[in-house]
Amino acid sequence: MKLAVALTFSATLSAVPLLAQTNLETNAGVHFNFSTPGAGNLALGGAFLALAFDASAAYTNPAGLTTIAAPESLIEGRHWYYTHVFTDRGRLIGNPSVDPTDFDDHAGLVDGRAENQVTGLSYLSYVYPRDDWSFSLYRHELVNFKADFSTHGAYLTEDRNRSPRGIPGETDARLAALRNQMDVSINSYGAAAAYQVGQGFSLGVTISYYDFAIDSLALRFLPSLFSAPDFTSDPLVNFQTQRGKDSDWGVAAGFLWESPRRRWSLGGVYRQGPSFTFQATNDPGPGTTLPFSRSVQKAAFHVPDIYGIGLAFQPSDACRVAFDYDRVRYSQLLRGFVDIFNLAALPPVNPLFPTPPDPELNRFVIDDTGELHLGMEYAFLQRWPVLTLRAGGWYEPDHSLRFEGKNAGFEAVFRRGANLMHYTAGLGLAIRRIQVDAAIDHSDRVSVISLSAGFRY
Amino acid sequence: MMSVRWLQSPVVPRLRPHTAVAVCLLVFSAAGLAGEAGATPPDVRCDEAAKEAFRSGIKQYARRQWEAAIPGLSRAADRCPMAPWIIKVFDFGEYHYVPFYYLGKCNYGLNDRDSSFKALRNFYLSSCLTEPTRHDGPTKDLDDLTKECRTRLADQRQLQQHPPEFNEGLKAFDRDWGKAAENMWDALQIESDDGQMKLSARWPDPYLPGLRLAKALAKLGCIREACRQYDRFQFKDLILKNGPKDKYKDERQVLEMLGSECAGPNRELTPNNETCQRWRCWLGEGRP
Repeated sequence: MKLAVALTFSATLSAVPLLAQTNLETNAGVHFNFSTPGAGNLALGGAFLALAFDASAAYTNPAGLTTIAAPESLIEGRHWYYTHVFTDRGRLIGNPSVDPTDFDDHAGLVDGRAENQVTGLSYLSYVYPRDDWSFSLYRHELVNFKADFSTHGAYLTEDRNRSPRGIPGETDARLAALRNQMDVSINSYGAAAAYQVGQGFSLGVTISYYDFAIDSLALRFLPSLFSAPDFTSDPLVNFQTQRGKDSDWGVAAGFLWESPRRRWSLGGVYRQGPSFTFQATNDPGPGTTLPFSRSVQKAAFHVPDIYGIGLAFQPSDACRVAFDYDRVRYSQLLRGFVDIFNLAALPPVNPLFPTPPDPELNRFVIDDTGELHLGMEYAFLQRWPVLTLRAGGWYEPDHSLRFEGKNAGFEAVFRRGANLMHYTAGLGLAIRRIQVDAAIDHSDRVSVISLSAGFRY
Repeated sequence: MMSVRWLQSPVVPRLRPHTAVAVCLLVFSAAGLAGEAGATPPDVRCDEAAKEAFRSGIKQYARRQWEAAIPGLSRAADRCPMAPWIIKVFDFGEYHYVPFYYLGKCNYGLNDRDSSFKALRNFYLSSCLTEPTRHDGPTKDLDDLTKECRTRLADQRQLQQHPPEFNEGLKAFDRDWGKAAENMWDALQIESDDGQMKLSARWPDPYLPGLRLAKALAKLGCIREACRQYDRFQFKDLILKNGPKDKYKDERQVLEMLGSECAGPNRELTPNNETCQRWRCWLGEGRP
């Protein structure tokens, strides 16, 4: 079988969701999110392209490094709360059973929810300004994701016949029950340089080396057609893995323009997403009644390219308002999209119908999205240490991998998701050479708590 | 900033009789100022090249091409800051050799913030170099222009916002003391020291460009000028006596350094270089 995985993320200045993209059901349920580094930026709703005035600029908008007056460093830790939403049970069409003991008791599909938490040292950087130049080195935890959840298996058709493999692409009456786990990490190590070209105008470039690792396992159990799954006794009919380590290089370039009075600033960035490959397998399980050969494929994991532009306004020394628009090219995720189950190579379930089902790979869709980020901060300059309060939000349009074909299994699993609104807030304390910031970014799917510290030398 | 080689003993070719007095005044003036500073042999190049540079600039000036006029006038001022010449410019008549005055007018004519600072500095140099004394005709409006320039810059003041030149100066600090000094001086033209915290990115720094200017001058080797600026700095008590220990830590160190320098015998020692002489002019003429 073919494993198709194109996990997606956004490597960007702003918070960008990351999705594992494949026609394996696991990938429909996970939703990564990673934001611009630095608690101060997170609290501003990720609107930082036109500000870019601290050590996180090396990643966010390297042109902003020229605004840094003295050598400084930034360290940040983050805690992520992931909420995975997936098709759990219910039925795609038809009416549920009238038997109250029957597991088929819901009309319509029912979403399941599961949560995972991850903590990590998310960002570390050092900036050294020199004349019209600035240089920076950084390490960024671009993705630190964990998913661990199970599904009960939804009913797909009116009839009660089913495939002994429980694979969604095949004609089936009920999806298999799945136990999923997935760990994905991407760390980037980058060097950035920025140059002040003219009065108030700077250009910057970043070169990053990305380290990628994925370890995913989906165990497919086949419960009785009318019962809830029992993962201890139901047969494990097959399982899929997505595993591997890879690395790639990526570049980013940005600009920053500041008005002569520094009240207005405009920033923009282009960030090239790296691409990775990994091994995707589909194996028959010990409980299978319809054996098939192991399938091993090379799959791709693309980080979408991102374009962003931001505008910032400083009405007074104490107040800043920033707005960003980011265009995330999620459609790139479908490049090299692979059928994880390799449906065309599977032995037919019914010899009377030897034609394999069409995986309809061309009917999987992901839209490019435009994210809106808005944030503001107010500093109480009379207080010591200086206290800064920040608030913001950002709009994350749906970029789920969805299926628009005829196959009922894929239709039930790969559905259009919801647009998300993120609300952010935070505060910072700063003295002459140390600043500490805390922030929270909350949405229905991903919430982040961040704590960062900056040091000026 | 252009290089100003002034207060040099000019070798004045083809001196006209009616300028003899002016030349004498000029020489004495220059010698006096240079003497104060501990004179070094001047590098005088008041030659035809200086005249030609002035001529090329003034042609553009006469056409009100301010930007185009600046390079020639700057070259002239750089090569020969003072000369008792009256330069004939084809089709445009005769012009007194007062490059700083004309440079200032060109900067002023450009009418942007950065040019206004340059205009003010050039007007101060014009005055300090006694251009009005030597050439009273064309420079009779120098005082008015200087005043208008100051007003224009003062009008740039923003409510609840310190001038961005202060932040520019902070960026240049420890890297380019000349630029840092100019930025701090610029900031002072807009708004005086007030000691309030101002954010440079997310870092708080007290708005004390006067003290920063003094330190930059000291770093430039202009101890006498640094001490003059230190003397007029009015927030010593705020820094030394008020606030948490770390709030003005850097400023305390600067005060201690300057206090030590200015109390010692080095106070009156200033190298006879154009940088310090220029700063003497700017601090003396334009009291921020």
